[in-house]
Amino acid sequence: MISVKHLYHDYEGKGSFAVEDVSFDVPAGSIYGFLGPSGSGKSTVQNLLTKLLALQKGDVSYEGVPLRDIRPDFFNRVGYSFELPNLYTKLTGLENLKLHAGLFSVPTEDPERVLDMVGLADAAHRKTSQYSKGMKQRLSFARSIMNRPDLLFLDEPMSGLDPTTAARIKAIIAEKRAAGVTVFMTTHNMYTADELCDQVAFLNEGRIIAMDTPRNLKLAYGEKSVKIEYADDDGGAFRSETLFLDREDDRRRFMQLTEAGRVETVHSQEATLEQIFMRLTGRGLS
Amino acid sequence: MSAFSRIYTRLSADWAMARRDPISLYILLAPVIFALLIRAFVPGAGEQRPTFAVLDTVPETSRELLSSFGELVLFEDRSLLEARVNRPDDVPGFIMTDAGLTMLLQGNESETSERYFRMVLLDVMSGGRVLGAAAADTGGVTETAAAESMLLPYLAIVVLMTTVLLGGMQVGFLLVEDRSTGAIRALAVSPLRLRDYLAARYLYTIAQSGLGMIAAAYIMLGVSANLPALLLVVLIGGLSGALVGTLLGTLADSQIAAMGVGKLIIPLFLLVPLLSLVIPASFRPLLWPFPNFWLWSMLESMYVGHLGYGFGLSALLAASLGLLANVPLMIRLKARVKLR
Amino acid sequence: MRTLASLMSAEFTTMRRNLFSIIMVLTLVLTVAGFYLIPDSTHQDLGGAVAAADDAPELEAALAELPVRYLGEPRDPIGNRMSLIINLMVFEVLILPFVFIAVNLFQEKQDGTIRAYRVTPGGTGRYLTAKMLLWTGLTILYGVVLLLCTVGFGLSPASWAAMLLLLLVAGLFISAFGLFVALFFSSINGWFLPGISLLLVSQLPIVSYLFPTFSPSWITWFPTYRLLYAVRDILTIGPAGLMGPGDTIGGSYGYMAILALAATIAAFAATKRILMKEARI
Repeated sequence: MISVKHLYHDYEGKGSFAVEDVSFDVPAGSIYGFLGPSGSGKSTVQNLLTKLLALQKGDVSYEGVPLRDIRPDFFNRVGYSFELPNLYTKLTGLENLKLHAGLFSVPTEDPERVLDMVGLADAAHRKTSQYSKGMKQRLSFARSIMNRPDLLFLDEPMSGLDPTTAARIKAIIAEKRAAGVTVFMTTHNMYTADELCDQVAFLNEGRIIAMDTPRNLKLAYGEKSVKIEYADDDGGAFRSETLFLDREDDRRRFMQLTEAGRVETVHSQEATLEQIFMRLTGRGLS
Repeated sequence: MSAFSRIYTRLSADWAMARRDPISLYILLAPVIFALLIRAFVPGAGEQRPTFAVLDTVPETSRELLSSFGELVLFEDRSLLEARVNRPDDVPGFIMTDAGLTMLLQGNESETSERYFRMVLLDVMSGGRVLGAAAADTGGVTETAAAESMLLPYLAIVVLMTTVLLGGMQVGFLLVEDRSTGAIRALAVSPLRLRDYLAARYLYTIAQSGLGMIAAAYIMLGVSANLPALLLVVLIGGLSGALVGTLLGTLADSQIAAMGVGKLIIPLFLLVPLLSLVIPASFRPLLWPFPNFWLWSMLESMYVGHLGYGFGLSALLAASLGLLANVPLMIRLKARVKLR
Repeated sequence: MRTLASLMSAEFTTMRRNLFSIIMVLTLVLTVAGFYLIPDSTHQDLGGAVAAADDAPELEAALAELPVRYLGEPRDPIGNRMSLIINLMVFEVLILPFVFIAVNLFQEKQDGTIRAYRVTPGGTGRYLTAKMLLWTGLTILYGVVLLLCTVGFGLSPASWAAMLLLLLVAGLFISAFGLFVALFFSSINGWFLPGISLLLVSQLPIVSYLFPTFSPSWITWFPTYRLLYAVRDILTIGPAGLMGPGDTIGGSYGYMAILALAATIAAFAATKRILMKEARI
């Protein structure tokens, strides 16, 4: 569905790349997750894929059609949920969806039904300037599915959502995939990625450092990790560390802590995507 | 922290923002630019002369007489001359016909202009012997000149009033911005009081627009700008400006709404005093409640000096009405922005 | 068509919720009140007019007998009320799109909705068309209502047609020009003084209107100068000016049409280059 080859982007034209040599393929009807901390280049890639940014170097194609040959009509098939919900603040939620629906030349969803799906039916007639952050996020998501897209771009779709609402949105995304929609999602939430994505790519400082299914990533990098809780040197506060026992230095650290007799609890665990990311980059996801 | 130091802190914050933002530079520059434009393009007293379109068949003697009343533009082709006369401005054409020197008018000339042009023609036809006496008799020429000599002072008054208005609107916009971005909420949890907040804003704007006004007045009017009186206008004008700013800040909760309110305020602020020039004296009391009318009246008595209310009375009324009108608005604004 | 309707409806609703309707109604009420308040005497130049002097009958007779020919129809003097409407049609009605198209753009920039629009099939052309059509339409509506409340019933159908056409071309020009100017500013705060200053400078032709002998050639290129005289001629002598030797109206249509075309091209290019390229937030 989406094919990206050797993508680069330099905002200032001074040789410092926000995105550097990024290549990947997204099969139709799958959910592809881009994982990385803020500033790693996730949104830049997404903006390049949707022509919000002009392509500088590299190739992007949809079903074999190069991005530069994509006509405005193509956007009838695209939905985009923005990280910072950009809504008409003087319009109500319902009006925002109606307006957006009017911009497409394909059959669109019933706005009231979509509002109901994302749990905003009660707020349909309130101006969006009065919405909470989470409500705006949900409306932005609702807007992205108004034109029944078969290609859905979601930029941090769960940001600002409480667990119940997040579960509702995740269910809709899963339904969309089941209906054959291709989803490209950026997130720094490993649980969302783990739960939803068929494939994930780890992005760090503009480069892809690992890419596979969540399961394969865990199998490849995640064995034999233990979470250990121990008392501080001065016997005060508790500290915790995740140690990978297949690593020489982690093993040594484990021995050191147990020999010192300061260990309070030890849990063996399957590594999370975040831990794998930390292991690969030495930094956290958020 | 004393009220003074709080105001000072706000003032320095405004100054810091102003240096990074060209907007408040504009408020200083706008009146100066207006003044320079007016000085460059608008003729002062006695400098304005009408234009006469003259066909080259008109004898030299007539041309010489005509040129003592206005600038001549010579045409070789009558159709080009007619095209010039036909333009919407008041430019008469002079040609030779069987009746001798003949004047061409389009028919859309103002009554004043046409009468003046006829007198010029009469004078030229009589070899220059009529107009001196006739002008003294009817006041025709002298009154036209008198009207034009007032153009510059009135334009100067409009520029100064506009600066007061723009200063007030500028504060209003900043106020609305603080409301719409929520910045004012951060202030609400500081010891700052609304009056300190506004005092800082207005003092800053008065200082800036005051400098611009003084510079503009000197550019347009030279030594007759009258500095001490002008300083009083700047201070009292600050109250009218404050009224505009507070009105904007109270009525509008977004900048777009502020612009809408501004669109209503701009003509009110400038048109109300201008109306005093056309309405009969018996209607003038309708304008008395407006502090901007009295501000205008102050400036008029400074630079034109014929309205009859006097500088002192106008200043007193502009100041007291300005203060009076600000009080209810401040109370309303206080309720809306929820500052103490 | 559907896209245009959606965009126009969003813009109009946004304006309505920003006190737009109240402001327009209030302005109209004040204007009409002003119209009926001022006495409808003959227009007087500042400082007093030169009325025919009764005390010099010989001079009056001599002046009346001079060899003077009129290229067009000699016209009755224009009263204060008509003068007010002529000026308001240009400096109130026709500046409407200049101001409001700008403020709406800044609201969109603040909301960030243009990014969302860019990932729809809409495109620059429809975005620009929707804005220009909406504001030209509202300008025409406002002008018509203002005329109907004041001098409109005395106008011939031909004058009405000429006026509507003028409002249309001028409205298109001013909305495109207003958008073009606004595109170079990121917020209403930055636009405010340059924008308002531009508006104030554009009012300079009022000086020519008050002192008709003051008309240096540079001022005749002001669009507002042409509009002022075109509106004056339509309202006072009717569209006869189109055919007559004074081609004020006809010339103004051509001038406005050229300006409208140039402003639309400039606005389109600027929208595409500036607005539709803003991606990084």
